[in-house]
Amino acid sequence: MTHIELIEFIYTHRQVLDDIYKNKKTTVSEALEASRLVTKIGGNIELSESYRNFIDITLNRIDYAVTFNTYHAELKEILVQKSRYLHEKKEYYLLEILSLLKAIFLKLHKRDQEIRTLLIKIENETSLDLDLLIEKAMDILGKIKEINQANKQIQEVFYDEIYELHPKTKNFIDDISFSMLTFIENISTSLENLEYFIARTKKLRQQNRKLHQLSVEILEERDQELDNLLTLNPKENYLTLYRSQKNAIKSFPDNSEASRIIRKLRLSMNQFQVKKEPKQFIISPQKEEKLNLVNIVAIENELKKSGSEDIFNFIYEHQELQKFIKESSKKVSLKEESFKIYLQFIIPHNPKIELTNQFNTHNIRIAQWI
Amino acid sequence: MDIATVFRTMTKGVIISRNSTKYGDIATFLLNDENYIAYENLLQELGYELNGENGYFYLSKSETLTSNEIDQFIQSHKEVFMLISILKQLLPHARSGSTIKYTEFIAEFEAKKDEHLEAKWRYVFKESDLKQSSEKFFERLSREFILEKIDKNNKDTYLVLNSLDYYLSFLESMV
Repeated sequence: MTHIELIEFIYTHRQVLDDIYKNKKTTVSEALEASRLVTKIGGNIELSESYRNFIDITLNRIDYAVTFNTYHAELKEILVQKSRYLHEKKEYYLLEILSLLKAIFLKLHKRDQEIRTLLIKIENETSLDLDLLIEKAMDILGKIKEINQANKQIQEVFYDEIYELHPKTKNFIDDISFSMLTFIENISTSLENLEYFIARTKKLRQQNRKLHQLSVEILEERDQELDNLLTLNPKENYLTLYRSQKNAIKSFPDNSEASRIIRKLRLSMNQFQVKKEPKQFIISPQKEEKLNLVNIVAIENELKKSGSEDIFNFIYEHQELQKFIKESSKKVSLKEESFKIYLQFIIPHNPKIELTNQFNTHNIRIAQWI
Repeated sequence: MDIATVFRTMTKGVIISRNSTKYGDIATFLLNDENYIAYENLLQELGYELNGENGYFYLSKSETLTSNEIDQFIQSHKEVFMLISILKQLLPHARSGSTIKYTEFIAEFEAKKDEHLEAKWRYVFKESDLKQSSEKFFERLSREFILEKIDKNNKDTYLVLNSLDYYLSFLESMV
């Protein structure tokens, strides 16, 4: 069977193969049974290991049971071939060495992909119990550490033993050097990520246990510690505010429902005879107010009679003002009241009043009554 | 986004989570130091405290709480702890930023139902009808700003908001 025929064969049996993959089907046609895509186990048909591997690798679906074997056998074989080559100088051994180098490189590449996919899968795993997940992750961590160690051995053999062996081995190792370093760095990163994931998952497990314990304490009313903790720093705690009631509204009545309720309410309300109480008005008597005024005419008459060098000071010291301030029910300023009267004299034109350019001790411009 | 909008939202008692679709804009606004300090100063004038850490923000009161407020505060927290405890018992992998499914929750409830779970359930809900209560469970956690529907049209998938860590932070202080 050629490659293209294989593709066509898979296409023809795609539905049945998918059903076997999803464990929906256990019997197949003879043609399919005879192919290496499926294996018969007892009375059941299952996908063959090679086909399942093909699916998992192509679709990045990797099983936790990834084989983490190291490169010990290949490295040992390389050293044997090197020794033979050095001894016999035959091209054949060199080709064997190059073939082994290539095989190890491809294995590194495959493992790099597998481990990265495995970590993505384990980090997104939600079906496993946390205890089991941590156990599995710890197991994988140990195996990746072994791989990391094995990668160092590969580097030593490649660069210390094979690199200078022949220009062809040198060129080959130069060509793959960059990728190899990337794989080695990826392993290091994977180790760090997995260690972080394990720490995070352990914390999650501890939180869950504490939450469980706390819920038991609340149910059994043994939660004094929680009460104390919650009231320890109220300034930093949420929910000390008024909570909006908006969220509690689940539905609003539509118009027809509202109209129906209003009609019912009207009918019910009409049955009641409500006697109207006559309105009573409370009339409060007006308060008598005593007016307290300054007798400006008396001040003006005195000014007309005797004149003044400083009208403001004259008003300020006049007994009418003193009397007004004393009798006033509100707190008033003598200076302000004097100034108001002062203005009443100087604003309308009066030939008897002369404004000077000087200011008195109250910082009021001096006006004279001549 | 401005301080007035942020204030209007937060005084309703919303915990703003950085990973929330609904309130993500406010979180982005508050992640700017200048905005945060200006808002914090304004709130202190009004008698509130702005709290922001680990991807969530909320307000609290500067003054001492009254005894009624303390009672309400403690009871509300206990109920939320109980809700989170149920969530974690059924979906132990749930954490801030993960997504959970309503249907999976119901299936796990059926599978893991025990006396303790039922006691926890009765602490928060009175109804015996699981389906109705499960809806209320998700509604309540959404109302506490811990869960948020990932999409309005997707009734099954919820996002666990960063505010979950606020409640979990209390656990770290407990023995």
